[in-house]
Amino acid sequence: MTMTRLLPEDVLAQQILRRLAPRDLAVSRCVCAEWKVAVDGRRLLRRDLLPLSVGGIFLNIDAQRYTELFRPSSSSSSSYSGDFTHLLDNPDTVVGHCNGLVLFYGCVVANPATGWFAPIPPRPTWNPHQVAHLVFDPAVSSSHYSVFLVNYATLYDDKNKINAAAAATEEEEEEEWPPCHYPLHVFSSATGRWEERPFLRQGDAAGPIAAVRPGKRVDGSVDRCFAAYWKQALYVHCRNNFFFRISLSRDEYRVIKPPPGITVHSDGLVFGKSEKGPYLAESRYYADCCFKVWILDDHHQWVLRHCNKHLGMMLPRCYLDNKVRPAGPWVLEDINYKDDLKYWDEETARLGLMEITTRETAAAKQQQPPHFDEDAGGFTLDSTSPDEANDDGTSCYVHYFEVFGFHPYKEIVFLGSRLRIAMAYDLNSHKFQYLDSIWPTDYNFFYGCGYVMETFVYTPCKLDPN
Amino acid sequence: MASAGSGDEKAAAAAMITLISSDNEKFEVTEATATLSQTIRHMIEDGCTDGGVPLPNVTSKILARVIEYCKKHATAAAGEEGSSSSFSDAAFLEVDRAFLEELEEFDDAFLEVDRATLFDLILAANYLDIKGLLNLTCQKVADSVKGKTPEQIREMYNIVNDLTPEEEAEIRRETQWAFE
Repeated sequence: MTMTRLLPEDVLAQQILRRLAPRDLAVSRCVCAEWKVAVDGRRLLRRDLLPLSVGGIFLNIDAQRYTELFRPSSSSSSSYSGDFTHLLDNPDTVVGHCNGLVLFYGCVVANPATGWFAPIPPRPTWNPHQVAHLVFDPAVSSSHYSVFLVNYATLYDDKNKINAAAAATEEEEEEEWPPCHYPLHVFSSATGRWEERPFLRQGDAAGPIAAVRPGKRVDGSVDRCFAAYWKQALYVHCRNNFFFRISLSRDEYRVIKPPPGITVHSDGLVFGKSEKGPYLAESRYYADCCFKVWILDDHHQWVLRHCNKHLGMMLPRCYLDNKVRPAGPWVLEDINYKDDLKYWDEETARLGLMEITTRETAAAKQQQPPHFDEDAGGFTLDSTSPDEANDDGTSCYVHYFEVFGFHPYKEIVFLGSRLRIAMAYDLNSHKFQYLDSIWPTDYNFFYGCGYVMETFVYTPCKLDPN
Repeated sequence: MASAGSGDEKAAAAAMITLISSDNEKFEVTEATATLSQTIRHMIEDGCTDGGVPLPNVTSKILARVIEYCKKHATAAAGEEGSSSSFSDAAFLEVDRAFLEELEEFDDAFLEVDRATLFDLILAANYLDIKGLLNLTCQKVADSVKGKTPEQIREMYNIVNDLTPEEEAEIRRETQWAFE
């Protein structure tokens, strides 16, 4: 007795398979030939709606009011925008992203690919040591999303300052972290409420609080607490470089140690999801050290995936000069500049001044940007060592990089060299692709230092939560 | 029928339909129960139900279950119509809620059948065009597939894998994200 013999094809496809989530439809295609035909013949699996490709990187640049989206300039990517200034009263900073949904600091969840947005109730508690992580998986269920609030306050000396009490007592210093029951605030769009839930720790704690307190950060370095959604669990990079694996089906979590050589004092690490699961990379790389990338395996052990002692690329010098720089295949949306411009236009009109017509805008770049097709593998510039380079002054060796994030489906890392250049680096072929500059038009060094504070690799999704 | 309103007993009795299963068993049902099936409703509208409605695709065992479902849900439909006029009445809403809960319990219990029966019910619901029953039974099958691997699905439903290992590997590669 087989199911296919018992059920006519139209009942199988229209009545049963049609009810499945994308992930289950993809699995159903592998069951047998008839199921594959049933799914494909009726186009039940809409891969085009799912967040399966990179649509850019959200960048929080210091002294910029709004988060910028740096993205491919091809026509297919014009269907979405990181500009929410016309939709939200105050589209402040993007503080999280998961599978196409972004979380704004002001408690709004939005979908840049559809324009959908929804406010969520304010956080039930607030302190500077909290980090919010968005969880959304449209391949399993596009109806709901959740937000996890992880509080690191117990790790800090100043936790009692609010209560005007003294520094942590010896007893508290000996207390193990994280606790056996970690209380997390979780917002669920299904209930529309925040709820405090104690998550039960599986396995060992990281250690006594005194031993796992985060190190002091160097000036200009940024606490980037990234999270990765993988196999229906939320992986969180904690402030002290330990990691949590938070189960989404049971209220349980597990502590994962950092890779060898990484301590509570190490800074500038970037964590994210890539082809084979959660990845960790050193964010800052100078030519005199090794650029390392680790993968977290199924046994929660870090495996060194990539170690490159000579990471660097030869780049024609013109790429470093904003005035003559050729356009790359990606473009910065320049939301902050455009918003300023709008303000000045309104001011000009209000004051009855003559309209300024000749203005250099980023959009007015006359150059046709090179075509960008990710799938056609357009890694055009090879990594070249300094010895091979012609020292005729026309080229420049770039060897300072920070990591912006990971391509979620390919072993590609997005790198930047301050605001000047951004590129993609293939961990397998060791090849670079120059993407463009991320220099915002009229960026003012009077206010900012040109730090990229936070980055979120964006995967557009055309499905909205209910 | 204990659950039907006593006032309408005469009218209900007047509109009885006879359904005949593939193994020639006869079932007397009210028109309200029978017309949950769009197929039978059309037959009634066309006036071709005299002498009973033969259902050559449905065995007596399955037809008895289908009728059990229709009776329960026909009562539910009648109840909903009755209460809609006094929608604002909290007491009525309370009754409605209790009734819906009871209906849900009935549905859950109704689905406690073996796989072969479930498929026969799906085929009958499809043939008789009973939307509610088709939804209920198909959702049950869809739920059973949720979160499973291809191997588990094949085993669960005795499906022979007619894909070559190369074909299967290729199909998996196309949607690698689903196997993470």
